[in-house]
Amino acid sequence: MTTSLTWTFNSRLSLASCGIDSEHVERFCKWEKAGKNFLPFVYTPKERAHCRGLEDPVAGLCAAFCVKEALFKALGRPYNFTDCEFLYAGTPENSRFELSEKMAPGMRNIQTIVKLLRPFKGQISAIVYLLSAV
Amino acid sequence: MPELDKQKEDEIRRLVYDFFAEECDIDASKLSDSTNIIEELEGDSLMLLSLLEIVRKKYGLKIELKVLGKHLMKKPANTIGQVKELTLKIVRLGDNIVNVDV
Repeated sequence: MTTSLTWTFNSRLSLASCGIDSEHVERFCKWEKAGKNFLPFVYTPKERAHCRGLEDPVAGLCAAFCVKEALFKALGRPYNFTDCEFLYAGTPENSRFELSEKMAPGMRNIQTIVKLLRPFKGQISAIVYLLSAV
Repeated sequence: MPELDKQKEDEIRRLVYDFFAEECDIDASKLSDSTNIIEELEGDSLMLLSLLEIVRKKYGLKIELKVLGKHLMKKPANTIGQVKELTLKIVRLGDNIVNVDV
């Protein structure tokens, strides 16, 4: 499955950087069972609630982590993972990616593209592209 | 800078060693301060975040990931000994860790 959260392509934009992350879904099983407020420095309350409502909550946690980690690699600098929210739904039209206002200063004129892949069974990968105006 | 007593330092040391032993399915006696987490244990950022979550819960800490990341860019933690030192600093200083000269 390939999930694209970009729905347009603008040729006036050039690739500024990209980041990739890949994780085994099973590594997130323990977090799904960890109660209400696990990893508060990684997931927002909305993400946790969203994942709980998914048919496969662990995949939701894994996908959100991959996106956050891939964004970190694309940015090349640390940021608070809770400033990047990813609500995974398995299909592009239903998944949602949003950066908080706190990210705005470093992200002006930057377009973010998120791609999700499931390269192997039990694994999710995310690629984040940062595009800037030419 | 607030100091930790010897008992708490030992407790944190044990916590770090036990964590990596369990996560990496290896006998804790085979680990040492010089064990490289990435090269020898195939550790990654998710593993470090799991440790941070345990420490956060145990000691009631609130540390921002951005703060920790900034510190790690100045002083990477690649070995168990370095992670142990980092954990001690986190428990001692919380978010003030970013103001520490490394």
